[in-house]
Amino acid sequence: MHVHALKQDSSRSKGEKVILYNESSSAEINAKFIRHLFQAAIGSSQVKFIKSDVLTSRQRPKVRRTKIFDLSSDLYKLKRPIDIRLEIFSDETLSIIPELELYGEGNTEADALEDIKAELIDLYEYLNTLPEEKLGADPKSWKKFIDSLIID
Amino acid sequence: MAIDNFTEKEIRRQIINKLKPELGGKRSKHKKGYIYLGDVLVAKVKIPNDHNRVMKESKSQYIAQSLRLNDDDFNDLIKCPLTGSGYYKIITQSLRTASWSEPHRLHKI
Repeated sequence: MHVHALKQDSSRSKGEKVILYNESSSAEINAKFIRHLFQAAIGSSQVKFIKSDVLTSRQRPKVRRTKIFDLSSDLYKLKRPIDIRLEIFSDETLSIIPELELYGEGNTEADALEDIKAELIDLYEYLNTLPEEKLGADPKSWKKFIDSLIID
Repeated sequence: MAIDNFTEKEIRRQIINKLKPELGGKRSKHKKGYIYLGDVLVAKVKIPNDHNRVMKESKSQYIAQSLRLNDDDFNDLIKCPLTGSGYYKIITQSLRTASWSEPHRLHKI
């Protein structure tokens, strides 16, 4: 299991805190306590925190293209394959359909592709609940595009 | 100016609390927010989950563009100066002046 850490400067009364988290939960710990713990363990006179999230947040992704051929659904089928733009980071992958302003995400490419399929179905179902007159210009173009892709 | 570093939780909280979008999304792991002007749907946004990790700049860009906000206005929305009513003034103005039938801005990242 991976646990990530994020240091935050909080209010003066509480002091600095370190947030440890994974996908399902998080915990806040006093930064001084963490420093003492590391100093005792490795004998270092000074422990510095590296904001790993901040570093990876600015990372440039590798970009490539792929296609999806189905929606992993019993209810909906694709009329044709859909082009997907993949943005691959060291810790996360995004799957993007620019025409619909949709993106999926996941730890792996497969997860990101499953997520974009779920996003597509969510959008298709939502747009189909609305009458034409309640759609602005962009939603109308999304509906036209998505109707050209999906069969019930 | 670029988008600042925000946690996913901060972005989620400000979108939900300030913009009060209609929430939806049954299939995906993430909620969607649907933005209406009057009775008309004009934008949608994928709402981040309640995590403390810093949002990837790329994802923040997608969210800002979904909301029709530039980097500065998005920073203001999350950091606080931009109120909910301020946001609705901006999107009303941008929908009057911009032609969204042009290739989507997502291509230009």
